[in-house]
Amino acid sequence: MLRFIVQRFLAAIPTIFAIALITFFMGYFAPGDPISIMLGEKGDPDVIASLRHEYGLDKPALEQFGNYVWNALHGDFGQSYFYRGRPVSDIIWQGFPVSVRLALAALAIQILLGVTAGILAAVYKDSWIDRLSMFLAMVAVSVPSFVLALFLMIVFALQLGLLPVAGWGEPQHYILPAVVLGARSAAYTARLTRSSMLDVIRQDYIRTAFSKGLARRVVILKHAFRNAMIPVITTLAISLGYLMTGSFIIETIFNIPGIGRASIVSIFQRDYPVIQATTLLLAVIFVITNLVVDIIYTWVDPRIKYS
Amino acid sequence: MIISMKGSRRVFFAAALVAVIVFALSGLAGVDAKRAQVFRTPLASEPPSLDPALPTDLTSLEVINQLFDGLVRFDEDGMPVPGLAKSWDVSEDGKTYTFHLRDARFHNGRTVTAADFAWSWNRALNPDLKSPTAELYLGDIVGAKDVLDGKAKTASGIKVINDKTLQVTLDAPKAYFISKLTYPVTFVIPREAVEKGGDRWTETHLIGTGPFKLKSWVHNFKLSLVANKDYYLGPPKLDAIEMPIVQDEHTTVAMYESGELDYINVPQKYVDEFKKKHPKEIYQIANANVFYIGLGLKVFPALEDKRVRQALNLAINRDVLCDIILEHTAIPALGVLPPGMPGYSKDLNGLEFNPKRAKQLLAEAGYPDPKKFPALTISYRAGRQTSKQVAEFVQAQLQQNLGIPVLLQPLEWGKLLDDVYEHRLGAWFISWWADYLDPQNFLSLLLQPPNDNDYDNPEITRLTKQADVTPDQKKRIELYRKANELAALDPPWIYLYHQISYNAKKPYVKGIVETPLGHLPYYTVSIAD
Repeated sequence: MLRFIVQRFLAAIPTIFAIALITFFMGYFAPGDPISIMLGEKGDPDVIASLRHEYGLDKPALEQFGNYVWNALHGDFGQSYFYRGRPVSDIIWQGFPVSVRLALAALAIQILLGVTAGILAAVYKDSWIDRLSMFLAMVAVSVPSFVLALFLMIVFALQLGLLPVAGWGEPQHYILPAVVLGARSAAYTARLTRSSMLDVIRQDYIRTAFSKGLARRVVILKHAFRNAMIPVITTLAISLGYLMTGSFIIETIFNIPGIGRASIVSIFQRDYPVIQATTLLLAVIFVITNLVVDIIYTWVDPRIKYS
Repeated sequence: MIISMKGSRRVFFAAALVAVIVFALSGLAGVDAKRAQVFRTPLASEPPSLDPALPTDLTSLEVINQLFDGLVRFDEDGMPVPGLAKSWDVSEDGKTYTFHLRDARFHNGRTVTAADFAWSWNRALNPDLKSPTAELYLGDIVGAKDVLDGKAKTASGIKVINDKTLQVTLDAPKAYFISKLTYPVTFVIPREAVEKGGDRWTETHLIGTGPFKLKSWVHNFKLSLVANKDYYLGPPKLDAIEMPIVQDEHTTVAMYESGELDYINVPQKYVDEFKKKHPKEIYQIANANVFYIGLGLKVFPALEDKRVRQALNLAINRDVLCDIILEHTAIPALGVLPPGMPGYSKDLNGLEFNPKRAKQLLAEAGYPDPKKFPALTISYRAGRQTSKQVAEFVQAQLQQNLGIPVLLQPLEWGKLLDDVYEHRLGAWFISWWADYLDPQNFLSLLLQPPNDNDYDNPEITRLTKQADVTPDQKKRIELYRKANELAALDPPWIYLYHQISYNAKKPYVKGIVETPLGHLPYYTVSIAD
C-alpha cells in the first residue's frame, strides 16, 4: 500500500510539471504586456521598462521559466504584478481556507440533499416522491450555476428577505453559495444513491432480513443503506476536488474572498504569477483527491488491490 | 412498496425540521431601518495599492481620497481650492509657488509640516518606487527630472522654508500646476509609517491625514474606514464607511435592492429598470472623458489630408450611436473637451452628420471613387462588448455613408496599448479620461506633438502652449476654447462621444457631492433618519 502511494506521488510529478510548463508558456506567448495593462493608457514607458526589469520579464523565456520553477520549489511564487508589494503566497493562503470552508459546506449540502433524496426515491420507487426527486436532480444538473445563483438570490434575498444577497463571515452567508455549489453534485449523489439502494434492496439478504421480522427502518438504514453507501462514499472525495475548483463563478457572484475569485481576477488582470500559482494549486488538489479516492476504494472494498 | 406511510411521515417531519433549522440559522438578512452613521458603497475591484504615489486606477483613488490629503483639493465645481495649504502666493514670473500650510495632523497625531511634503514628493519621484504618475504631476518642478533619472535624491525646486512654509519652483510658468496638486501622487504621507512598514506600509502602517482612517482591509473582500475625529475641517458626519469589493454587477444591483448598499454606480443594462423602479434614487452624472477613433496619420498617409479626416467625421451619425447603440449613456462629441471641463462650448461648431458633404470632401481629397480608398483597419479592445458594438457601428457608418472599405481588428488590451505607443495602427477605438479638471490635460497632452496620432496643427500648438503658461485663468481658458474650436474643424480623430453614467443612492443618504471627476471625499455625507 505504502509503495502504491509513493508510486502515485512520483507519477504525479510530471503531470504537475507539465501543467506548470503549459500555464507559463500560455502566459508568455499571449499578446500584450502585463505591465502595460497594469499601468493602463497613461503608463510611462520608462516606468514600464523598469518594472519589466524588476519582475524579470526582460529575460529569455527559458530563464524566466527556470527561475519560476526553482522559486516555486522553494515555496516562493513571486510577487503579484498587479498588487504591488503583495507576495503571491499571501493571496493564495488568504483565499484557500475560505474556498475549503465553502467546499465543505457544499459537501454537507451534497450529502444532506443528495443522500436523503436518493434514499427516499429508492424506497418510494415510482411514487411521486421518486419522480419529484429525480426531476429536481435533473434540473440541478441542467441549470448553469450562475442562473441558479441569481434565481436563489432573487427568491431568498430580494423577495423573501431571508438571506443576505452576498458577503462572507456569518453563518447565513454560507447557505446560498453552498446550495448553488453543491446542487449539481447533490443531483449526481441522489441518482447514485437511488440506483445503489435499489440494487441492494433487491438482494437476498435484505429479503431475509425482512422475513426475520425486523422493523423496516432497521432493514433500510442498517442493512441496505450501509452497503449502498460504498459507491457513494468513494465519489464524495472526488467531488470535494470538484467543489474546490468549481467555485470560481460562485465566489465572484456571492462576493466570497476565496481562491476561485482571486484566480478569476488574476486572469482578467494578466497577473501571471497568481494565475500560475492558483492553477498549480488546483492541479495538486486534483492529484491528491484522485489519490485519496484510490486509497478509499481499497479500504471499502478489500477485493481491490494495488501492487 | 416496502415502507408504510408511517415511515414516510417521519421522513417528512425530519425534512421539515432541517428546513426550520436552516432558516433559523440564517437569521434576519435585511438590515435594520435605523442605522448608525455607517455608509456602505461598493468597490468594483480590489484596490491594487493604497500608496498615493502608485495607483492609476479609479478604485484605488476612490479609497485614497478618503484617507489622504494634498495641498489643494477640488471644490464642487471641480476647481482647485485650498486643502492642507491654507493659501499660496505665486511669484511674478509665475514660476515660484509659496504654500502656507494650515494646522493639520496625521492619523497618528503628529502635525503635518512642510518637510513632510518635501519628503513625500521626493519619495514619489525616486526611480526605485517606480511611480507611474510622479513624472506627469511633479515633473514640472525644477530638479524633478534629476531625481527621476536617479541623478539626485532631492529636487532642488522643492524648498522647506520653515515648518509651515513650502516653496516650489517650476521649470516654466505653468498655470495648471495647482490643478495637478489635487492628484494623489502629490499627497502627504508620514515618513515614519513608510520606514516602519517598508513596501507594505499601506497594509501595516497606513497613516494619512484624510477625513477617514483605515480600520481594516480584508483583501478581495472588504475595506472598513472609520471617521478621523481630528480632521482639519472638523470631524466628518459619518462614523464609518464600509466598502465591500463586489465585482459582479448583478450582485451590486441585488445588494442595493436588498438594502445592503447605500450608493452605487448603476450598470448600463440596469439604467432603464432603475429609472422605472427608483426614479428618485437614480441620477445622471457627467464624466470628463472623450471616446474617439484615434487616427495614425503617419501609419495611414491618406489620413494626413485634413479633408479626409473631416469626411470621416461627417459620415458618423452620433445621435444614433448615443441613443440606440449606447442606450442614452453618452452624448455626441464634436470636439476634444468634454462637458464640465472649462473651455467646453455647448454649441461648438463641429462636423455634424452630413454624408453628402462627407463624400464631396473625400472626392476633393482625390478619392472620387470611395471604393478605391485604401482599406482602413479599426482596432479595438477585445473582450469588451461595448467596444465591439461601437467599432462595428463606425465600420457600418463609414461603409454606408462614405463607401470606403473598413476592416475591424479586435486586439487584446495590452497589445492595443503597445501598438498605439509604437505608432503601428491606422485607426483605433480608445478613450481619454481627465486626471485633473484643466483643459491642458486634454488639449496640450493629446494634441501637442509628439502625440500618438502624429497630428500637428501649428496654430493649436501655439494657442495651447501659450495657454499653458498664462497665469490669468480667464484668458487661458479662452485660449483653450479657441484651440478646441480649431480642433473641431481640423479633427485629429473621429470624434464619437462623451460617456455619461448613472449613480443611485438611497433616499436617506445626504451630502454626496458629484463632480465631472467623480464624487468628492465622503466628508460631507451623512445618513438621515
